[in-house]
Amino acid sequence: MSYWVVVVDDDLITSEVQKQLIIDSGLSDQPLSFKDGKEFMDALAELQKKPDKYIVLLDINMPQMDAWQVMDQLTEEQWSKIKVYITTSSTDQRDKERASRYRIHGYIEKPLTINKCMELRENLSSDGSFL
Amino acid sequence: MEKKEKLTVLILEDLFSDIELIKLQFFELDFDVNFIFTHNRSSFEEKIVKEKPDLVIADYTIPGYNGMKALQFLREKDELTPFIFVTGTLGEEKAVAAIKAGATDFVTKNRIDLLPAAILRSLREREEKIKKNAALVEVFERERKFEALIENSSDWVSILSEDHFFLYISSSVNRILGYLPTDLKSLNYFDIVHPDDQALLYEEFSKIKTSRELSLPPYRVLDKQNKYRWLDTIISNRTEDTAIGGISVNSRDITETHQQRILDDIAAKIQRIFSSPKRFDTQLQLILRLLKNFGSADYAELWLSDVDGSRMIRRASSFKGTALIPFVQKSKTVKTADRKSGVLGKIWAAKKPTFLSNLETDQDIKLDKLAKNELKSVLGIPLMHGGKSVGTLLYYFRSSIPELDGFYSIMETTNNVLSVELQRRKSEEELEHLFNLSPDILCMMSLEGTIKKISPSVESNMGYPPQEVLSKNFAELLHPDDLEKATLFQRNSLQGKSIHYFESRLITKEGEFKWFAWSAYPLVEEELIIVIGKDIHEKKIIDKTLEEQNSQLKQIAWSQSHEVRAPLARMLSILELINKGNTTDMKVEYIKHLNESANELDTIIRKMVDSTINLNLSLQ
Repeated sequence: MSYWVVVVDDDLITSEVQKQLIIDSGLSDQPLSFKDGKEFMDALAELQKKPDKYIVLLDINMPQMDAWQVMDQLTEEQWSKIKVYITTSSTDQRDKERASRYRIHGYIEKPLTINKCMELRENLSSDGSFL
Repeated sequence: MEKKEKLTVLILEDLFSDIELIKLQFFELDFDVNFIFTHNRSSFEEKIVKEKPDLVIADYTIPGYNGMKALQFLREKDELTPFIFVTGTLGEEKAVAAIKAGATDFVTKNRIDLLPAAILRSLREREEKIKKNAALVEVFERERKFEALIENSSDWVSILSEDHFFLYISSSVNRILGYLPTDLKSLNYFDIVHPDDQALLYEEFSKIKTSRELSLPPYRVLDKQNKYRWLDTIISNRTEDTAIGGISVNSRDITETHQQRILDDIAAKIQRIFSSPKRFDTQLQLILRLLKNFGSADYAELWLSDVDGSRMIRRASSFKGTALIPFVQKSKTVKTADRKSGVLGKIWAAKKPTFLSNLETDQDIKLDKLAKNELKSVLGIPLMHGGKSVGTLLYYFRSSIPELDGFYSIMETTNNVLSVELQRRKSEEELEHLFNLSPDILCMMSLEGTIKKISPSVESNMGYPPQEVLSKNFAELLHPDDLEKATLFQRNSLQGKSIHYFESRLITKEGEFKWFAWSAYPLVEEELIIVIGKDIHEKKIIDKTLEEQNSQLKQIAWSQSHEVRAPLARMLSILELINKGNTTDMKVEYIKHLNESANELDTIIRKMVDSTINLNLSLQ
C-alpha cells in the first residue's frame, strides 16, 4: 500500500461510516480521519515528512477551516503528494464550479457508497501514479 | 369831338308835315340819328327785317295799313324794340289794346313836344329789359348746368327739411339705391336709415344746426331691394339760402370698400384677441360678439369639437335684447351636444353653411320653447381645419328672412383665420391640460440642463413650487450619488439620442430623496430636452423588500442543499453499510446513528418550515 486514504469531515458519524465503507470496498485497510481542515493541515505538516502519498476525501463545509481554505493553503510540494476529492452533500452547482477551479481529482456527491469507492480505486489503478 | 350814339329810327307816317314834326323832336336829343321812312306795309316789314331799327315811331292810321298791325309784326320779331304811337286822339279802349299788344308809349300830335321824353324813356326801358333778360338767361343756364351736374354725378344729392323730410331728391338716387325720386318724396330720411345707425346719425344731424358743413361717419340705408348700403356723406346747412332752403345731403356709395375695410378690421381684431393674454373662453366670447354684431344676429353660439370630435361643447354665446335672457340662462345648463342631432346635426350633415328658417315648426330641432318663440331662423357655419371639424358657429335671428349677406361675406374673410386659430388654441389648451394635470413631472430643459418649463406636478412630487426650480440646473436636484449616471444621460441627449429609461433620485424640498424613472427626448433644432419623470419611489421600496426576501429564500434553498442533505447523506451511507458492508457486528451501533440522523433531519425540516412561514407573512 503506497498511499493513505484520509477522510476530512466535521460530522463524526459520517467519518466513521465513510471509513468503514472504504475498508469494506477494499480501497484502504486503514483509512485516517480528521474532524476539520485545520486538524488535517496540522497533521499533514507532520505526515508529509514521510514520502507517503494521500488520497483526501475533503468535505466542503466545516468549522475552523473549510475545503477552500485548505486548498488555498496547500503548498506545491503538498499538492504533489495529495489527490483531493471533494465530498459534499450539497447539490449546489456553484460548489461544483468553484471546486473545478482547484487542482482536484474528483467531486463525490454524498452519500459515499461502496460502488463509488471501488470506482475511485479503479481510477487510481488506471492512473498508476499512486501505485 | 364826342362821338354821338347812333340811333336807327323807323318812322311809319304818310303825312310829310308829321314826318318833319317828328324829326324836329330829335334835334334836342343827343343822337346821331339815321331816319328810315315808310308808309306802307310791305316797305315797313322789309325795313324792320333788314334795318333792325332801334326805335319805331308810327301813326295809328295809315292808308292801306295800320299801326296796330305794324306793332304786331314787330312784336313777332322782337319784344324789346320800343314802339311809340304818334297819333291824333286815341280812344281809351284802343290805347289799352295797344299797350297790351306791346306798344311802348303814346304821344298825341297836339302834344308832340312830349315825344323826346317818351323816346328817351323807351330807350332806357329797352336797355333795362335787355340787361334783365341777359341776367335771366344767365340764371337759367346756370341752373341747367347745376341740375345736369347733380343728375349725372355718382353722388346722390338730396335736400331735407329741418325735420329731415325729403324736399328734393336727385335722380341719381336710382343708380345708388334703386329708388325713383318719387318713391322717397313723402318719406323722412330716417325711414331708410339702418336702425342700428339711427341714433348716431341723428346726433350728427343735430350738429348741423350750429355748423355749416359736416362729414358723417359711414352709415347704412335701405335700398329698393331691401338691402343695406353703406354711404359716405357730407351734409351742409343751406336753410338760410333761399334757393335751397334746407339741409343738403350729398352721399356716395362706399358699400364695397367699407365692407372690405370692416372685414379686414374684424380679421385683424380676431388675431389680436387670440394673441391677447386673456383666457381662451374670454377670447371666444369676445370674438363671437364681434361676429354677431357685424352680421346683426339676435343670438349666437360658438361650439367647439371635443378632443376626439364625437361631441360639441358650447364655449361661448352672445345675445341681443333682454327677451332672450331667460333662455340664455336656461341654456347655460346644457353645454354638450351630439354632432348628429338637432341644429348641429343638420349643419354637420350638410357640411357647409346652412340656413334653417323653420325653427318653429321643425320637429327635429329640440330648441327651448322660449327660444322658439323668439328665434325664427338660424344660420350654421361649420368650421373646418385640415379636413377635421373644429367647431360650429350658430347665428340665430328673430326674422325668418334675415339679411345674411354680412355673414356670408365675413365667412370668406374670417373663417379661415378663425378655424386655424381655434384649432391652434384648442390643441394648446388640450396640451396645457395634459401638462398641468399630469402626475408625472414634465420638464423642458436646455441642452445644458437648465430648467425652462416644468409642470405644476413638481410641487406634489417634490414640494417645490414650479417657479422655485425654474432656471435651476437639473443637476442641482439630483442625489449626489446619481450625478455620474446623469452625466451619461446628458451626453446622450447632446448627441440627440432619446433615453427611454433611467432611474435616479431627486432631493425633495424637505431634503429627502425620492426615486424617479426618467425618459428624455432631445429636440435638437429647438435646443431643448423634454424630460418626463415618473415617481417610482414606492416601487423601489417594494423592490428592496423583495430583494431581502429573495435572499431569505436563497438561504432556505441553501439550507435545503446543505443542512438537509448532510444527515440524509449520512443515513444513506449507513444504510449502504448495513446492506452491502462486510461487518455485521456493528449493526446496533449503525441503527443508533440512523436514529440520531433521522431526528436531526426532522429538527432541520421543522425549522425550515417555520422560517418559510415567517417569510410568507412578511411578504404579505
